[in-house]
Amino acid sequence: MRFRFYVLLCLFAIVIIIWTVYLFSIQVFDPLNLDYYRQIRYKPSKEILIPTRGSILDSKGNLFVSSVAYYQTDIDRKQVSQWAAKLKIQLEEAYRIISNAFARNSSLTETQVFDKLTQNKALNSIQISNRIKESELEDLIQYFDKNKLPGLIYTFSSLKRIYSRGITAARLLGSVKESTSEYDPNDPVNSIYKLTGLNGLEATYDKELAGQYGWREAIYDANHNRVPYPDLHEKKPVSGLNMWLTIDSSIQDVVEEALAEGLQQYGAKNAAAVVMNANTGKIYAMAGVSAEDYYEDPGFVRVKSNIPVSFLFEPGSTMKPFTALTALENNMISSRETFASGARKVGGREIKDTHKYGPLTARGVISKSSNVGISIIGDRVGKKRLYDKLIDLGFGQKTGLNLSGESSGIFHKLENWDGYTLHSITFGYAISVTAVQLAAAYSVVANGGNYVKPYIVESFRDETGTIVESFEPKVIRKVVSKASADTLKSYLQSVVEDGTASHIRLNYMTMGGKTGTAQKKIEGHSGYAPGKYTGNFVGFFPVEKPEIVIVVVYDEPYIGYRFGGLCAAPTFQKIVEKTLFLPSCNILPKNKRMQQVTTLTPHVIGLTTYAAISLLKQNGLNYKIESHDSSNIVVDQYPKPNVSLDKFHPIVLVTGKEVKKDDANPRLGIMPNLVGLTLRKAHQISSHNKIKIKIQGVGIVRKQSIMAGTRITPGNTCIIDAHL
Amino acid sequence: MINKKKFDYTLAVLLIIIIITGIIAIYTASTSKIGENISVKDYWWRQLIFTFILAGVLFLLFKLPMPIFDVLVVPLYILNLIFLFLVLFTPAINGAHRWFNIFGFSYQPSESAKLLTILLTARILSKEHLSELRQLIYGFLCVLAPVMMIMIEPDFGTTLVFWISLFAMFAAAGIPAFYLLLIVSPLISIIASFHWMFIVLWIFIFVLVLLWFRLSWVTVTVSTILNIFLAIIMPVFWGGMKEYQQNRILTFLDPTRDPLGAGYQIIQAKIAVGSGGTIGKGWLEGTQKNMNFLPEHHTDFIFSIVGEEFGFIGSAILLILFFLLFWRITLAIREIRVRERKIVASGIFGYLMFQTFINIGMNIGLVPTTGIPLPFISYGGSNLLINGLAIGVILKYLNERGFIK
Repeated sequence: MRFRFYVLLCLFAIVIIIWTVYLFSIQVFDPLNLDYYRQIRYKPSKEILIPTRGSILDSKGNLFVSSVAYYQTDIDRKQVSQWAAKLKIQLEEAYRIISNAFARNSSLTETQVFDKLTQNKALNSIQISNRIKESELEDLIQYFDKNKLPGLIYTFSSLKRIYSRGITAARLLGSVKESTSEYDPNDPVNSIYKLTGLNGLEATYDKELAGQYGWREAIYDANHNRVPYPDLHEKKPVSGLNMWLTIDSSIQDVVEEALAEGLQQYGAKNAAAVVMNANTGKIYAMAGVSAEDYYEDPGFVRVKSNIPVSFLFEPGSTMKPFTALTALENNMISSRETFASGARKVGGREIKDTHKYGPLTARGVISKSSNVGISIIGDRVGKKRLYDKLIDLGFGQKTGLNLSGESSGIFHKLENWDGYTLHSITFGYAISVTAVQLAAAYSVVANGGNYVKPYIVESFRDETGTIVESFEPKVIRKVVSKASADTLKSYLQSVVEDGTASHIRLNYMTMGGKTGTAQKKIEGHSGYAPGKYTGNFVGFFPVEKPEIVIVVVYDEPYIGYRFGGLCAAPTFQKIVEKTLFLPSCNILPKNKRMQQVTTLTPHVIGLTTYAAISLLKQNGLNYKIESHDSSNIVVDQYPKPNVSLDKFHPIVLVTGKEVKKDDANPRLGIMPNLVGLTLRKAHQISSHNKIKIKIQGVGIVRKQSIMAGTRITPGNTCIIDAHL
Repeated sequence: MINKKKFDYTLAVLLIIIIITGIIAIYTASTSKIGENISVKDYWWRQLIFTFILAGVLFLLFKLPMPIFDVLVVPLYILNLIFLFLVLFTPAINGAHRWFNIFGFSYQPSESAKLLTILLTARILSKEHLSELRQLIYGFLCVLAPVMMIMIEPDFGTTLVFWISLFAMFAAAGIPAFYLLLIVSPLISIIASFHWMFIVLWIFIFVLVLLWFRLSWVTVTVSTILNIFLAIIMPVFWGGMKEYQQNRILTFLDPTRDPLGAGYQIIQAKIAVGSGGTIGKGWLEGTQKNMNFLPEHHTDFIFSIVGEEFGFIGSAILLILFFLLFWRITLAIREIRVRERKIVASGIFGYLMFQTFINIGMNIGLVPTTGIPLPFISYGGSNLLINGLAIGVILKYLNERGFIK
């Protein structure tokens, strides 16, 4: 027994010696370099804070493009199981509690989250979603904090551009691309996640929209919770500037709608239109569409070229007024003088008119669009004078709009002109222009002789709405005297009154304009392609004091519609009419606009679609149906029942499965949907939700600048468009 | 009640010092300090309350006359078996049914089973006229009953403690050494089975030692064949093990195998101890603890906190305290003359020493994680009470020596 006692003691001593020696070696000599961990635990890591890319808004503050930041949220399941053990609950129940937290604060459903949580058990932390919006994340964090739930990990995931108006102005606005790379401390700005403008306005003003990166030092504990360590530094990111355009989205809508109808009706390949203020150069609408755009992916349409500034065409007769203008400016023609028409031989080439009119005055040359007449005037004006004037009118140069893909057109230098060039140019061949150039040149005629620089960006504003940089109308030069411009204006008016475009005359509005048709050049050759034409129309109104210049171009319409008077002119008329009756447009006196009869909307919610339509038809009202599925119960209508509206305005019927009760308590801080309500009701709701609103117009709310469902930061003002 | 001449004051004082050290360690382990923010959880004063309860229980133990103490062992053992059975029906926590929750305090019946099993086994081993083989069988059966139920819980680490204390008791009971060797031999065969060279070497030594004890050829042959069989069957058995058990062993062999899963605790504990250096990071300054890198730092991994904050000096002092405690217990084993009590003291010695060294070994990365707490230092009410009571029993025996049965 004594022996055993000593064996026991020896064993005991050996263990304690091994333990002590081992401890001594790892603690004092530290061969595993564990002291390293002591240093890194409190060493802050630098996190990059991504700025929000600025929004693009129209002149009224309606959003075209905005940004939303998405976050990736993960759940650390190990922490959850520890938490469950502490609370003595089943792990499954802990998962349910967490799923419920997600369901309450985000768009995910409880089962979705629960399924994610129970997947892939080998992994410690599991990704729940990488598309949690910033506002949802804030709610989630608060909820987790309040209820002391464990395991929430979140990191920035991506920035997405939200196109509030879908494909509208897609080519103008352009697109962005996402690029990510590893963080490089030497070059922090250029080596991390960012959205870069690829084309369109996004590319042109990329620097302004992008904003500045910030950073933050952070120390994380093992559970990836930020530790409140003192003396951590931070630099806040600076959000990108919001870009306010001169574009009026209601006019843009009108234009795109008209072009879409035109494309279909005339079978054209491309169509473009520019609506511009003749006096200031503000571009109210700029649209370019191809027939494919309507069935292609919107993301793909966005990277395509912006037709109004990039598409080159020979304008044809729309160039004629400029020769006349030069002649008028130099007093080379008098109003009584007549010019021969029909046919004329110049050099080896014959110039022909389509119709025979006999001798025409200068007014007649323009209004009947005589090639022969204008070529005779061209002879009188001479190369040099015409060339200089066309340069002054902006041909062959970029307009300064600064849009990506903008073309300067093709306008040969004077020394390169051959024997035919002068005559060709007088009636719009041998020169290629863009729609914007044409609009700018016609605004010289419209505004009394000044070339104003077209511009599309009105201002850059920061988050609080303060204007950082704004752009003013700029008169570049005086091109012609007011007298010559006004004379030409009256010529152009007679085009619409009794000339080639007399079919688009409006009895309540004076308009001036010019049709143009040109055979298309074969690309890369000097010849012309048979059967391929571009038809265009440039017009302005009201003639007495022109406000707006509109250019409409159709590329390769059906052969029967090849004349600008047949394809582009009706579209022009459509745009004019609709623009005049927009609530924000004050060109037409109010009493003229109010000619229309107003009527009360009937109550159709709850009816079947068929019953609702027949009721509306009885009342002589138009309708549009918005449905997401095949159900045929009207669940909502805009405008709401029993409000007075203009009879021609269609009533939007929303169909669905069942009529939803109005959300009595919309969430605070979230923009409610005000569209379709009366102003009184909208005012009530917004004051209840403490949202500042600014009302434009009277009647029923048609539009709201902040989309329903977005988060409102204090100080944001929602602009509400209302009209009858 | 306390015999001033016989009472072992040194052992009692050592116990008190170690418990106070434990409370200090729990205080720092349940505190997290970041910058100027300090938050303290309530574990340390709970442990303090248990210390006072322990003092009361020890007071009662010393007052208790020895005959009544002897009578109580069997019924308490049976009661404990019932508890062990009932605990299987409690809701699982981390996949195991180990705790009863009463008024916010949790009670582990497997803790009290350790002490009661030792007391009962010693009683049976010291029955008169028992052959050695019967002693072995009875002792084995006594331990098997609680161990079976603890295995179902499941709590593999705790069952090891029972076998170790049983082994210590056999040794103290004077069972011949070759029996002990035979008992241990399967374990060594299993460990040796990972390489055939070790199997050959081990079997060679095994046979030689058995022959040296002059055992019959039959015994030598049978036990040798059994051991060879075990060593060969081992890979098959390995395949039948549960994945987490396999993982624990594999992760112990190579902690970097799964740095975020099973190896996580070992790596973090090792970092904590190693980064403490010679003098430690200072009071409340342990980063592994403050930043939550080390889980369970107030229970199983409390030694790492001591190592991290007080460095080699602190952990060496703690080791010395334990050394002195066990030294005093070995002296007590020698002092105690009554066979049953001697066996009890050896069992307690085996069980406390095993827990201590396994836990410290686990904290410094020399032993796989087993879920065995550090006696007197780790937070845990039933743990402290039973361990304290075990020392109390030894103190009582010392106090009562001279009353030869």
